[in-house]
Amino acid sequence: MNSSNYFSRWFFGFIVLSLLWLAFTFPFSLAELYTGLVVGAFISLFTAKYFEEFGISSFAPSKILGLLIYIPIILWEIIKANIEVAIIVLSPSLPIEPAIITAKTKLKSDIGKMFLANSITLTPGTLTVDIIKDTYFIHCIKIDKTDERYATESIIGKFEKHLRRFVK
Amino acid sequence: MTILIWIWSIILSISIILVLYRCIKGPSLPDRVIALDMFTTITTGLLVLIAHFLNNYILLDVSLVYSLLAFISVIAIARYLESSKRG
Amino acid sequence: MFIIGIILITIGVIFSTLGALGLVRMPDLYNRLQTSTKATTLGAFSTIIGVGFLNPAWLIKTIVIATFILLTAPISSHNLARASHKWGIPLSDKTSVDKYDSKTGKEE
Repeated sequence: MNSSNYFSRWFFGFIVLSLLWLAFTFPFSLAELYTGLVVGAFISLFTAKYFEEFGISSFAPSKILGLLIYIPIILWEIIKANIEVAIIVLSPSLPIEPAIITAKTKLKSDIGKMFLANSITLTPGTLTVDIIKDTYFIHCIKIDKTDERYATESIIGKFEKHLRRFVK
Repeated sequence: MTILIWIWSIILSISIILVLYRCIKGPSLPDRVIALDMFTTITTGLLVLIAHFLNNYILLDVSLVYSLLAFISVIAIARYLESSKRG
Repeated sequence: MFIIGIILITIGVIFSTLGALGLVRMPDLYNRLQTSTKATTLGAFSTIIGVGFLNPAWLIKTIVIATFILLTAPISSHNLARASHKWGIPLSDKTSVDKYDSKTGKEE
C-alpha cells in the first residue's frame, strides 16, 4: 500500500462524508460546517484502508455522469415494476409463480456487484437472495422460464449495460 | 389542505393496522421482522406528513434518525437469525 | 409545485396501502418481502418527496431522507431473505424451482 494511494482513498472518504454531513444538517451554521469537516477527515483516516476500489479517480466526470444517468433509469424501472406488482396484489386469484433462479453477471468489482444486487432488489418482483462469486440467486415472484440464460438477459441485462459506464 | 392531510393520515393508519395484523399473526419470527420493517417505513412517511401538518422542522430530523435506527435493528436481527438454528 | 406535491403524496399513500395489503395476502415469506417491503419503499419515498414539493424550503432535507430510505431498504430485505433461507423458512407450494439450496452446500 503506497502512500499516494492511501491519500487518494482518504480524500475520497473525506469528500463523501463531508457532502453527506452537509446534506444531513442542511441549513448549517459555520460551526457545524467546521465540526463536520474535522470529524469527516478523522473518520476517513480509519476507513480508508477498507475502501480499496475508490480514490480520486472515482470523481472522474464520466463516472459521475454515468451515475446521474443511472438514477432516472432505476427510478423508472422501480415505478414500472411497482405497477406490475400492484396489479398482482389487487387481482383476486393472486397469479404468482415464484421461483429461485440463478443468473450470471459480467461485472468484476465488488462495488459493481453491490449496485447490481441493490437495483435487482429495489425493483419489486425480483429479490437477490445471495451472491456467490458471479452467480446471483434471485427470487422472482412471477417467471415464465427458469433457465439461466433467459434470466441473465431479462433481469440483469437491463441494468448491466448502464452500470458498465461507471463501474467495472 | 387540512382535510387532505387527514385523509392521507387515516389511509396510512389503516395500512399500519394491516401490517400489525401480520405482526401478531405471522407464523414465523422473520415474518414479524418484515412487518416491523414495513411498519417503520410507513411511520417514517407518516412522520414527515405530520411534520408538514404541524410545520415543525425538527420532526424531519426525528424521522431521519428513526429510519436509521430501524435499518440497524433489522440488520442486527437478520444477523442473529443467520447465526442461530431454528427451534 | 403544489399540485405535483399533492399527486406525489397520493401516489405514495396508495402504494403504501397496496404494500400492506400484499403483506397480508401473500402465501409465504419471500413473496411478502417482494410485494410489501419494496412497494412500501416507493410509497414512503413518494410521500416524503411530495412533502418536499409542498414546502420547498424543506426540499433538500426531504430528498436526503427519501434517498436514505431508498438506499437502506434493499439491504435490509436482502439480508432478511438470506437469513430466513438459511434459517429454514419453507417456500410456498406454488414455487417451481429452488436453485439456491443445493449451491450453498457446495460452495461453503
